[in-house]
Amino acid sequence: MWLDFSAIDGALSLLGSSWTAWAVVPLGLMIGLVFGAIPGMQTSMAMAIFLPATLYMDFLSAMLFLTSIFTGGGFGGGISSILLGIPGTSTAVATTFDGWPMTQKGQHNEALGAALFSSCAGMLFSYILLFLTIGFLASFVLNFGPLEMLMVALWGVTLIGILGGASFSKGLLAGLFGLLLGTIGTSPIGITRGTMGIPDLLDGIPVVPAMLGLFAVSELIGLTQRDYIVGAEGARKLSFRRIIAGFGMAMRYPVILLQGSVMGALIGAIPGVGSSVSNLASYAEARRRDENPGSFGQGNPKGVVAAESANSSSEGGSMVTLLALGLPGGGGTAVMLAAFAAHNITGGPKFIRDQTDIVYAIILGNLAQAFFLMFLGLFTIHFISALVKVPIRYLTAAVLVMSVTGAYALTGSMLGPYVLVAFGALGWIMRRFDYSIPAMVVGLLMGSLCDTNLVYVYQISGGDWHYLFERPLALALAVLLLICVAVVPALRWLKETRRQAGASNAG
Amino acid sequence: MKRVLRNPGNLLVVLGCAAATIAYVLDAQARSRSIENLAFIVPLAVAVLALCLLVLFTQQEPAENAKTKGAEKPRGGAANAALPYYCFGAFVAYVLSIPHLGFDVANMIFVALFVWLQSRRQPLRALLFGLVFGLGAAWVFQTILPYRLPMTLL
Repeated sequence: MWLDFSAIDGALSLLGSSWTAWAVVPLGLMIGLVFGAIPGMQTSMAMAIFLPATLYMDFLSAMLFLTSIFTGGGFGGGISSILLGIPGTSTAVATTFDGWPMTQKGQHNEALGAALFSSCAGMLFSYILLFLTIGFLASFVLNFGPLEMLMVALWGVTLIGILGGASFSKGLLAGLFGLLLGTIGTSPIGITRGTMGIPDLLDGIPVVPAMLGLFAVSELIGLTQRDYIVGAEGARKLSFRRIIAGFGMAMRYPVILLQGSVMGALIGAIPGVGSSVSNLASYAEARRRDENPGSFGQGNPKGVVAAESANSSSEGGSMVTLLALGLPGGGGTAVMLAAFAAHNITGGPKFIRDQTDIVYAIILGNLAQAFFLMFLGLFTIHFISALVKVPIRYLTAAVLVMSVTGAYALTGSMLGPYVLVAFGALGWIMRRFDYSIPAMVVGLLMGSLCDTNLVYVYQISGGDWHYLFERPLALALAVLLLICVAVVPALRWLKETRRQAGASNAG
Repeated sequence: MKRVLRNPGNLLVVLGCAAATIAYVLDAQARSRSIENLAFIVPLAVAVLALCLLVLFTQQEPAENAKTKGAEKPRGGAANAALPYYCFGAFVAYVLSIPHLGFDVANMIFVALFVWLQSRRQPLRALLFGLVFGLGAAWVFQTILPYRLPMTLL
């Protein structure tokens, strides 16, 4: 049976008896909307900054708080895409293609309404899909042993590295170096390594301060060269009635909504790809199938619907790999995995088996978030569109202070702020030279897990590598990993060669 | 070789990564040469070092460091190009001063200085914001956390 009704009943009881779980949702959505709407501020950064606050919540509330930031950020990015022609986040790039032309035509209210409705619909779809399939996924991944988990983790880090950035080799280097850093501390057999004599590092590098440094500090320091985040674009006049009319506009394209949602959920489940790619893929597909593709880019609402439904449904897709495998697919889910660890919970198959009711509660809570987002988004667009004009210097100073204090709160000592500074510097350098930060973060999270699983494999197999052939799934994952490593750079090389050939022909 | 030297900044990054990797592996094998201790990190280190070489010999021209994504263009001038370095310096000084000044005073000074550094005007406004936000943030965290933060005034 795919659906575990007793666990669903337990989930409903959990959600019904915990008011804090619901109280944090509007707050998280608001934070996500604000950070998503301000170009330069990323949703994963917001999640990392507010992660310390979740230590004082129960696990369910913490997860709902973080997922609500994730959800709010998904739509927040679309607000600045539409009103200012600037994607608030990388997940809202395709929203700009038609959202901004709609604004130039005076249809920004309708565009915002269509984007909000599509976001909510996409999110609902992906979480319903997750709700229906998580039972099956759980029974499937429960067959995973340490070798399969090792392969999945390596595959995930590799994919994030090679697909997430502009350079295959730099992305992969960031991921693998992150894995190496993740093994610092006490090894699975009790040997301390790489601690440089610092006793506080015996438990390894504190991941959350490192993550805050990589995601937040490095980005914020880079923003200091800008006076205002956005130019002197005047606030557009917003109309509640016309935004509602935008809902109707989105409802006129159910096929595009469904297509975007399906593509988003599937692409979102692939580590390293996620919503940054799904919104572009869905937009391209909607344009390709349309009778009048030339109207795309000229303010066609179908473009907004395709992009927003896909980027929101990617959230549910990325939760599949997080919940089922304990593997984060990108920055946002990496922060969630860190929250798992902060609450002494190990994500993955055992988590689904042992705490099925909490898994269903997270899914059901997220379904409810879609409706919360619809109302909150509708009533706060005025405020958020005004906020993007706050001078950046005030925001960066405030967020840096919160990050440092949060890092101290997490470790209870100055180790947190020191790690934050060190990884902030590292992240700044990585951004400057185009290395993938999400790949390093995921590597850092997965390092210890990979090391432990490899030791288990060694002990189970007695050091005989033929053991790999006794595990067909692990073998398939290993082959997949090698194909990814071989095929992706080959395809990129081919593309680059063609581009150069085209350029020289044109010249 | 020309390709390697074309981007000295990236060369330093790669060399730093390689040096850290080698130092870590040497430290690990000095602690224990058992297979369980080295089985993961040695092959990983080899892969990292191989990638370091690959990055060096396949790198493109220094990338444009302007991931503005449509945001307003950076303010011009050489002095402004150095601004992130000043700001990061101020940030490091802020973190190092916390054990001595406490979160409250360090926050106030850092916020005021950081805001002023980025605009070089309206020092009074920067000071006021530093006072209100710096002190406010310290007070809020002190109220929430179950243990005492280093403080001077609060």
